[in-house]
Amino acid sequence: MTQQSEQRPTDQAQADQAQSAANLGADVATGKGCGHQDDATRVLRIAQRLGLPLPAAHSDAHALCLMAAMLRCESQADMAFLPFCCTVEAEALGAHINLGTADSGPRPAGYAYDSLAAFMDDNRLMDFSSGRIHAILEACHMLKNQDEMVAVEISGPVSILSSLVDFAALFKCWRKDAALTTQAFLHIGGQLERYARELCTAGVDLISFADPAAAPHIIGPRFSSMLATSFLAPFLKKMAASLPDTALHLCPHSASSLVNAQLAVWQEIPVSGHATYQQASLALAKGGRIFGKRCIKRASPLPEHGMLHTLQLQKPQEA
Amino acid sequence: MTPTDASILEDLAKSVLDMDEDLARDSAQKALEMKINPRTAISDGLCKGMEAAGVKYEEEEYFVPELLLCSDAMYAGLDILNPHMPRDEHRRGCGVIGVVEGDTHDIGKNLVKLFMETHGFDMIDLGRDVPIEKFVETVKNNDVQVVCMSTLMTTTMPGMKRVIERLKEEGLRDKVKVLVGGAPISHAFAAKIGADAYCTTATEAPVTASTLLGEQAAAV
Repeated sequence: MTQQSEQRPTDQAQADQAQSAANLGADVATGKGCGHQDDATRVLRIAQRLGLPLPAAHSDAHALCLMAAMLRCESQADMAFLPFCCTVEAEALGAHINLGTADSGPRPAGYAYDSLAAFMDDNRLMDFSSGRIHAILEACHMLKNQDEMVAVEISGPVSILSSLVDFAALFKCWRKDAALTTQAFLHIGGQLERYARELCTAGVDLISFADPAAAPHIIGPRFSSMLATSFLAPFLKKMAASLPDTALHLCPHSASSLVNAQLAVWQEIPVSGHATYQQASLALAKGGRIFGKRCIKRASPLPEHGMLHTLQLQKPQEA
Repeated sequence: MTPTDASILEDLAKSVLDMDEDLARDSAQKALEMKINPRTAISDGLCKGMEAAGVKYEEEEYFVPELLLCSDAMYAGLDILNPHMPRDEHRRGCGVIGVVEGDTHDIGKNLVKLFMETHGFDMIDLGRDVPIEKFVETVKNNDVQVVCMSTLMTTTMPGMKRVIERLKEEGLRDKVKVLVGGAPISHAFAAKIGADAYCTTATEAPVTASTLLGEQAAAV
């Protein structure tokens, strides 16, 4: 596979949205068919097949490594994905998590904070030396030692906060005190940047960002645009600058919120030769490029027309 | 109804639609001071506002955050009016609602509960991550006509089937109509597990429940 130097900017928002919908493999309007939901079921089945006890396997680096490798083989993916739920970062920030059973996955067990202000007062930092987040980092090391390509999905601030405070309280605060909410997002963003650096040290090849609780079909265009402006665009800019050698990928829902808020435009990169979307993303992402036209977990087919789409972040006044 | 009464009812509806808890409380207090029947204040004030919010949701002008904020305003008004409601108030029926065990995504459940209450159902809210037997016990121990279950996770969908099976085993299935909903649920799944209906949106639930209960009444 070779990369041509020519890049063609496109700003056909509507066409992009329609294409994104087709590429997602999911219904953008309702979220049906999201890769997160599929993973949850498959991981329970794979743990059973490997004879790994649940929920203990969620906290065991060796078990996580085995499950990720088998999931990669089974789905014929080009990389092994970790983790298997969206609660790891929230747990590292103080959320009470019920790790579930052999039939159900990890989920919040009550809220750790009664308000966003209480969460901010706590000013909690992620601790990478213990808990499931430590097991994830160890599992990444193990997978790299087995010559696997490793991808880690990090959760966005709305999904993380939905495990820490009541969802209605979050939006009430967001409406009445946008400054405090933005501070909370940026605090979480800072912790995610630290986590991302730890992941890079562990040898992770691709970091994928997803914020399923903040999908536009859930929070609507107004909050989606506010999130893209106050958090997502500056967060991605920092991530791309600080991790130039790591592939960055964005869930298409988040990518579309940036494009719809005119904070980013799609650029096409021609790709020659035969490659899957995952292979092309890994090969072409270095240098701070961000991809996100398709769901990274589903995207096995070749890029259509040999094109890979990268997001170019724009300052609001430039868009 | 006096022009002042009409104005207070309009303010109650507006408070919900505008997500204004302070206006909801003030207007509810004024309604009581003006001797407006609390039932009228709720049905022609707060509920009208929530119905209008539901229309905006259907039209994709409002989304989940707006509905949650509207519901906060509505409950702020209800907290003031409910203690003054006549005890013999006619209700449409009683329902039990919960997110099945293994899942904690309760936004959709909360919205269904809200719209069911808006349409005159008394709802017993079991919350989220609800054990199967809790649904069964609640149906057994209460005069319940509707069971509403939701989940966002594919892993927890079988729990809905188990609830229906347990209702059958306990001889309670014919006592209730079962409604299911949530992102991974479909009409086909609802039919497969023996539910009475699948609701695609929160606003659809009370209409479906009323229709099903109407059919039941007609059959009797």
